[in-house]
Amino acid sequence: MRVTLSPGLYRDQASFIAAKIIEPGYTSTMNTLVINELSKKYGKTTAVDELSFTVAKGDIFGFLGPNGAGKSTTMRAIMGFDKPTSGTVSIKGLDAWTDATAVKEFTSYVPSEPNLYPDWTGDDHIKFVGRFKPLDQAKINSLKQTLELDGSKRVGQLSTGNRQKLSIILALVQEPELLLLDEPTRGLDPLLRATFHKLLKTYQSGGGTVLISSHDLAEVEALCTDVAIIRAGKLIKDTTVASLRSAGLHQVKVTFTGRPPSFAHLKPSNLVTSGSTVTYAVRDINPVLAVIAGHDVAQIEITNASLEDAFAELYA
Amino acid sequence: MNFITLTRHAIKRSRRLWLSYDVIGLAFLWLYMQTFPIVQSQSTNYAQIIKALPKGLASAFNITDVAPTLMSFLSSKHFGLIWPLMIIIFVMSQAASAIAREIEQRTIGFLLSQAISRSTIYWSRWTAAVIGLLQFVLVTELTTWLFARAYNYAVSFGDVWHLGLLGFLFGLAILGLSFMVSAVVSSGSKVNAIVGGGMLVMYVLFIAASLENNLSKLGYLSLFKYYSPGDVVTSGAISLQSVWVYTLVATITTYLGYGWFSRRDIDV
Repeated sequence: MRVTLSPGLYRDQASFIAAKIIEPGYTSTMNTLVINELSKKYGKTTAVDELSFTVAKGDIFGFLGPNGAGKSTTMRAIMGFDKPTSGTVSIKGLDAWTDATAVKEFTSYVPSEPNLYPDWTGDDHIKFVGRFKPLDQAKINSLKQTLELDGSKRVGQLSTGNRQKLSIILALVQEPELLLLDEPTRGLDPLLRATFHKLLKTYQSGGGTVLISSHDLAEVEALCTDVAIIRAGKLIKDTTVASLRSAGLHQVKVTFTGRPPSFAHLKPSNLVTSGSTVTYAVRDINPVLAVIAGHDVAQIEITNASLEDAFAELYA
Repeated sequence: MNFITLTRHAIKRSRRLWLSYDVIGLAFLWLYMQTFPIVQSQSTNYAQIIKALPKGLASAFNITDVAPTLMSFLSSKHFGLIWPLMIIIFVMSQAASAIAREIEQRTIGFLLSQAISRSTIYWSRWTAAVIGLLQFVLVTELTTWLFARAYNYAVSFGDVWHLGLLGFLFGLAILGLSFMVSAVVSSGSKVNAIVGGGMLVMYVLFIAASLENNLSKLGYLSLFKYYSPGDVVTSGAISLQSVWVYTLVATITTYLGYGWFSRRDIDV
């Protein structure tokens, strides 16, 4: 017999979560996040269409797609801000919509645009979060120091980058088991991005799980082991970064002694012609070599394509 | 615990607004207290003016007493016009900033990212707004009584109490309507426009129903129909119909708002 648990039956959220994770069928080695045939419609517009993927415990999972692909809608469904039209989002066995409050006990979120109170200081925000969850003061100080944030300033006076830093601190001080990041480094300078990447790696080594949505493919390549790529709300690839990079896609750079021939009929992606040098990505290099063979070549370089090239090909 | 924390948070954010309403309310009251001796000295002219008014119009504007006492004067001038107008604007702005403006400014995303339920957010905000309304009513009513004593006017505490209760219930009904709208829309200005527009329509219905006998039934659709401070002062009691209508409207609309808020998508 399976008993459906309700938060109201328990004296506190912790008891509810504890009871929920010993429900039949739940094991601690399960995926932290399971998205199962998630669809979200706004009127006649389908933002997310039967999306399914899982994020394993301890993984840093990249969530890629162009603007309007449905990444933020998916994030909102995971956070329980939006109710799925159909399908489910499950976090550690809890439903993201019906058990939304319990899920937040171990989930933190960094939105793409910080949603903070402009008349509060950074420290006011941290203090407020501390009213709902015990926080480690040493960790707060360390994060503020690492990310170089002055907590005494009002949010309204902070730059976009500093507001983003505060959002990151607010998420990390809660020491969550699952961290949702929606374009978290937007507004951060390259040095701070590197610092943030280190923080994430440290967080992961402590057993934390991350779902990161980003346009910065170098960031995804540097951080993630697995990725899901969506386009127009549909999943088009759920794989590892390594396999995506080595999926037979080649980066070809050829410098001709004379005028370069046309490669358009081979439908390469990321085709760039600069003088007599042509750069592009292709899966099958034999037709390319056949074209090159009929011309004088000054230099040729064939390497495995970058994630950016693989991504561009998927979107072509 | 979360509920108390959030209620305190909402009160802390609103306290300056509350204080400014209290000060404005008291300033109006003081102004009317200063004006009353002049009106009293010209009571004959005042009586003639009132007698010249159509009966419906006098009733619509809560003018019922031809020989003014302080309370009858205040019930028609202050408690019949300025005070309810302040209550309407006060509760509308409280409801707008409690939910819709938080969605508009995306700050509700910060709250919802914590282990706080939508139910806690909604009811804590509503409780804070009710406390705000209650303190405004108490401050203005108690000051009326204190002013009257200070100026040596005979005022029944029962009248003050009943006027306060009527204003509180009237405000509670509009607060419910405003929270319902605030839970549905995603912009504070939309709450003000919709509720403000609705109140204006209700007022027009009430005036039309008071002036035209064949439109009298339309008056029942207006919350102003049940708000009659002049009758409270004349009869020394608050109408049971007013209590029931305001309580029902407040309960139904507040719960409808809660139902919508707990199921809606929040785009932050």
